[in-house]
Amino acid sequence: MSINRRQFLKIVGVSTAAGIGGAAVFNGLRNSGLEAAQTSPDPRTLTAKRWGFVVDMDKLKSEEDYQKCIDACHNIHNVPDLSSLPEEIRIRHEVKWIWTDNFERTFPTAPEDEYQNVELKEKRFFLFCNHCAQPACVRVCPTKATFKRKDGVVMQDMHRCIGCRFCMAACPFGARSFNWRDPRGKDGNGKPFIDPAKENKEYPTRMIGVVEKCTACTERLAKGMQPACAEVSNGAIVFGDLEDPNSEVRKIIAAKYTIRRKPELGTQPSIYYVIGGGEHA
Amino acid sequence: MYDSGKIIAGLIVFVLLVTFPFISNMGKASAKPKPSIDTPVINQMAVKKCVESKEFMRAEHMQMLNNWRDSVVRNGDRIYVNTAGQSFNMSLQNTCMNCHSNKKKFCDECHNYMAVTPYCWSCHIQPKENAEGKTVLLAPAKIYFEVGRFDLPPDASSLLKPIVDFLRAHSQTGVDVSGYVDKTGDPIKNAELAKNRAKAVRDMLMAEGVSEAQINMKKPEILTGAGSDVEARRVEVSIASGKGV
Repeated sequence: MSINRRQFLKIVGVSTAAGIGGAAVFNGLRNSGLEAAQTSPDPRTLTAKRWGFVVDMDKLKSEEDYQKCIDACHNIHNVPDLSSLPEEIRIRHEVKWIWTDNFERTFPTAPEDEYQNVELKEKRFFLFCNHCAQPACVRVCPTKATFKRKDGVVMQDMHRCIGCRFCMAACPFGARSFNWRDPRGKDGNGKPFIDPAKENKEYPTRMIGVVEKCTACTERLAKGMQPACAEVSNGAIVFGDLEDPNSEVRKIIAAKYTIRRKPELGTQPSIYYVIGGGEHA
Repeated sequence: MYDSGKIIAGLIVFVLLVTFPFISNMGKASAKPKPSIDTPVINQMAVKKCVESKEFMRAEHMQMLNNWRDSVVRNGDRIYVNTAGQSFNMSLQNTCMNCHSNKKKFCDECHNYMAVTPYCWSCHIQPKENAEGKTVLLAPAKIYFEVGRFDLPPDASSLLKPIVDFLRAHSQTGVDVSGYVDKTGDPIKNAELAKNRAKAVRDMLMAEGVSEAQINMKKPEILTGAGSDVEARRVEVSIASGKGV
């Protein structure tokens, strides 16, 4: 059978049209009434272009001021407490969303200054995920388990995390913890890492082998609530939209001298530290 | 045919081996899974309806949960509007398991039958259940008594408060009240004492506004509870059963 150019083009044209039509019918059948249009954000959700934090070191005076924020965060998110393990294991296996460290380790690239204020040098600084504008962890994640939300929060999708720990190597701030142990497990004396009495039954735990970190309390933002640490901190941690010039965080940043951790790395961290001076500033 | 004896014997052995699983399981079909919806929250509902129709949920809940997960975690959209126009918070732990608080008798029933082990609950916290697969909504309250006495201790009211609040809010849910005694003394008098202790607690529950129909006086099989004598002299109040009144 011979075929001329005209007949060939006709057949190709008809079969292409049939193919596209067929695919559409097939897709229509596959779609089982679960279209994206049926989902929507909670109307109470707090929204922003880029969420950020201001940590006002002047308002953090006693050990208690720090501990209540840490406890609020770790209890709400069922973060396992490994403090009962032997010291050398605890240091390596510890899981933390928010913690403290001294000036030198918080701002290791700040120029050395032998006359620096001793009080500041010895002060404990609040550390948690910086929710960077250019997050290194997101760039390296092979499964997109960690990703940047439209509101600037660097989110961690535990369902996708394969535990490769690239993000931990990439993060310059040490904000990520790996679950070396089953967070639902027990220590040598049978004490569970998550106290059953304090367990938050509305929030999941994690499983062994995934990386976790601060999520800026996205589950609370969706209910119109501030992040837990900001809520209990008595103004020491302020949460707001960095892109909004009228937000409280921007007003503080405009009025007071603030520094960020390792800004020279270019990740654009979103935590600003007001490092005091108090009434002399 | 050469070696027909060996070949036929070999064939018979082969057929027996291949059909062995069928023969050995003949007539022993596993029971059809019957997921139960006997939970306190579902018993409360006037119209027992899930997020979507039963048939849809049966066939598609796994796909739906995947879509919910992606929607909540990746897009931050947490509200699902079903085909009837009702809104639901997309959450396995807080929405699905709130009604289906009997994971063993609901989820596991089919998952075990189908030999699938979804890893949802390695992170999502499952509701607490007792040995019979009934939901434990609240930890049972234990009220301790003095030797030989059945008048309520002063802390009874505060101990019972969470249970009383729950029972007032869920008028269809029942509560078990069981009295115990210690090993010392006359067994006949002790049985009477255990009953009186349970009655004292029942009267208190009723005084707090719990209806009599909700209270199930459950005589324990062994009146002398385990543990020390102090531990044994008690009344246990538990909402462990999914059964309504």
